[in-house]
Amino acid sequence: MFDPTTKVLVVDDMMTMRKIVVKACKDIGFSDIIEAADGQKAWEAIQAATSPIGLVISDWNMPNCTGLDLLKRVRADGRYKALPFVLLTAESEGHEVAEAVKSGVDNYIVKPFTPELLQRKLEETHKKTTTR
Amino acid sequence: MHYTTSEKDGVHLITCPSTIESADAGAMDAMVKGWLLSSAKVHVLDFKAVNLFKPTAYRTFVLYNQALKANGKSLFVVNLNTEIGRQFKQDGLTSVFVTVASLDEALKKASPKSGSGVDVEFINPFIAAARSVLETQAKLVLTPGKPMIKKADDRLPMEIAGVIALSCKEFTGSINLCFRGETFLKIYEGLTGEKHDTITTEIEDAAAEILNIIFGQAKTVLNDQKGYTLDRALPTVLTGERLRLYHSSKSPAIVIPFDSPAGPFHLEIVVEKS
Repeated sequence: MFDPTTKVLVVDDMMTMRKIVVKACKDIGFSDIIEAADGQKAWEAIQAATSPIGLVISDWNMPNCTGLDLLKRVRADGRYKALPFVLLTAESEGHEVAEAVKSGVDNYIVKPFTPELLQRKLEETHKKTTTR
Repeated sequence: MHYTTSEKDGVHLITCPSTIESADAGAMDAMVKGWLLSSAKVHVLDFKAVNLFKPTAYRTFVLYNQALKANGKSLFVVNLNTEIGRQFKQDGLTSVFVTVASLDEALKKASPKSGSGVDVEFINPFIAAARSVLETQAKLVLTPGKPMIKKADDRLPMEIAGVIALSCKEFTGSINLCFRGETFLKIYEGLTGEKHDTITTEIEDAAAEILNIIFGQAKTVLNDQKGYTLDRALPTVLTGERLRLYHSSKSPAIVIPFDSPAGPFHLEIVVEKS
């Protein structure tokens, strides 16, 4: 599992969902959590972070740069291309899952989710990203 | 890995081995390419012997499903055991591995949806999604009531509503999730653990987010399993004392009432053929 000191970036245009994800992350043990309200602000936060962000949990469907577009920017930039990235999505149509996989997502969580599911998904993500 | 294939009654049937894994990615890709050569419009995976499906194999089947859909074909699963079904549900793959009871059912489901309108087939995924979302995210067990047609002079009490515009080839319309203030505040507390006395701009986006998740779930079922082509949409929120929704369409709105430990609320669905 990710070290509890890992800096986590939570991205969602809905404040309520950011609160839900941040609370679930805190319940798992993370203490260094920052938030962004869309993909553009998240990209700016990644570049401006004084200590490296170690995990991104991002919504997909957002105005002003979607989670998928953010993922593509991250994977295209040599500085961040190995950054563990989890997409949180309300939609799980086959072609969308395939697009996320092709774009290099490390894991995705379909809303609604329980804190237990989030924990399991992050454990899977950690296992996957530490062996790449 | 040992898969066998056959063609039966217009179905390309693939009998799967006891363990599905992606041990040899090249061999798997070559095998799937062979399956895609079949002219059958309906492909069915027989999971009778399957007792282990490793997540490393997800990508192969997700891309297989995508390739089939791109060619107007469909993928289904028969004889899926409960444990693997639960695994697929938790991993968000129920739209990739759509279960059917028989090859006949697969052929029926694969027939494109003709016509449109607010019928039971269209409404049921929204009811199921509302129950799933609020039970999982806010720990609220819902009791859906009987859907009814909204009359012009109906005064359905609400102070906040999430609204999403529906759009696809066959129709346009909207779906609206409507709450009384007191019910909304209790649901918000169930979602976040935070107690509020009034609906503020800080918390009102919860109405949009709940509807967003309900719509996402229902859209996945309607598009992947029932042949609809609903577009993505972003929700908006309306608030106000004695809020009323007016629908300018010729078709009447269908109201689906729900009861819950937080209080009653309802969905309003309006559909107009294009």
